[in-house]
Amino acid sequence: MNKNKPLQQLGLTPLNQKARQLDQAPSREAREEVQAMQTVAGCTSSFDPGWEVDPFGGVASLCQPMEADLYGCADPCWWPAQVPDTMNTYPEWGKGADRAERDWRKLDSVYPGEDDE
Amino acid sequence: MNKNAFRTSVMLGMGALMASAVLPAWSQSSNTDAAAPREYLVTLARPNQLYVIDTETREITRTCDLPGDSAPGTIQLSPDNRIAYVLHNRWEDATGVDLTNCDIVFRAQQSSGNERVKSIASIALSPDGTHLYTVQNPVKMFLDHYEVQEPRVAIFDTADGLDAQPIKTYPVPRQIATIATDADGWLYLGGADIYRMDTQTGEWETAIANRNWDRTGFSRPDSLAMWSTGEVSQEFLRPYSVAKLENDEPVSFHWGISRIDLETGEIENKEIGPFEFIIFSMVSDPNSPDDFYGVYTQLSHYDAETQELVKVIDLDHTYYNINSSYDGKTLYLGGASSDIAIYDTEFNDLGRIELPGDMGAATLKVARF
Repeated sequence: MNKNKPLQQLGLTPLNQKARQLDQAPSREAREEVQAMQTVAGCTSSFDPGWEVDPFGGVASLCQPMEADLYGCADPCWWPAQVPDTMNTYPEWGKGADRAERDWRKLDSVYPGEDDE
Repeated sequence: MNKNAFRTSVMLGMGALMASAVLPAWSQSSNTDAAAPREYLVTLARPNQLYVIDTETREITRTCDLPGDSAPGTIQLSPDNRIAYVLHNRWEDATGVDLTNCDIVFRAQQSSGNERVKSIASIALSPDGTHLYTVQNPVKMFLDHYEVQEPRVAIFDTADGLDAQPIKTYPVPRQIATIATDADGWLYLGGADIYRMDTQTGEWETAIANRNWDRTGFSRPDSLAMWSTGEVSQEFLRPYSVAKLENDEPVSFHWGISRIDLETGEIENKEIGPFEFIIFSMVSDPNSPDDFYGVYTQLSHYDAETQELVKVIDLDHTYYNINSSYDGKTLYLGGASSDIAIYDTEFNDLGRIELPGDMGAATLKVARF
């Protein structure tokens, strides 16, 4: 199947709004124009390694300790996968835990609909 | 008394004790010249506080409550340094705080209706302090989908009080983070490249090409610009890392800086030393512009003239934002956790200033008034 062809050229007809938007989605060539931000913040796609490994393949350049960096990375949405999205969906996630090194035990999982504003 | 009420009362008591111990800061100066300006650190910490810290006594002079979360928290100072304009509340609101009495003197809530607006650390003041600039990234939020709108520079009149609305907007490229103005009023926008805008017309041009630079033998640079410092040396400074290439293969890695002199508008883009560890922010020595200090899990000193790493030490934890005293003798490390570290330029440890909450991504500014 030619992935670059619009759906209609493949004999498919979009039935609802999402399907129509999918049909109008950028071509593969246009998608390749997308570039990562110089400054990765604001819940954008991040290619930074996060907690696991530093750019040199080691751990020496990671946040030390992780708790010192928890809010610094969570608040600007640097770790969208590892912690709740406090920029938009769960701004109250760290409420009552103002110093992560002392209060990290108070940080809990989040559940849809629980704390979204 | 439950645990939370007890904790609150202790914190309030501590706050009152700290306030009574140091107020008014300028009247307690050991400096015999009462008119001489004093230096203060200005930063933010969780949950919604702005702190004014006397650098001489290293005590909190004033604790100001913000109307909304402090995080992530980007600060710019008015020209007289007496008002801190803070981009806070999840990077949606711009609030002006009088540092001499904690009064809220300006407020712009950028989101309205179904349009959510975020400014990614983008806040600056005109050189006369009459206008405030943000870069707005709007999204229209509908029940079943979001529509991303075009980013724009928003211009506010700082005299518009607590319900300020943009008096003008101009379209700008995407991906802009920190911004600054120079003495002539040019607005510099740090995005994929660093742009320069005429705020009267909205016309912009590339001041320093980064992503789109044309440098044979170099990779594209990678930069991080979230901290709006540079007030001490009057410069807009953005560090970058870059690889030198041979036959399109990297052979060495380097730190470099993109810099705009905010007094003259002069621009610079150059490598300053080897890239051996991560640096989040840099500051130049106000007395020696080719000496740069950087911070993250290490505190480091680079000499751009010799392209050497002069000195590096490991820190007890990560710090994000480095700043310098106006005499260039003292370095302040803030952000991340809840303590501000103080070092001299030989990297002797001069102590810590503890805050009740984490600073996170907050700016650490040096104000003088």
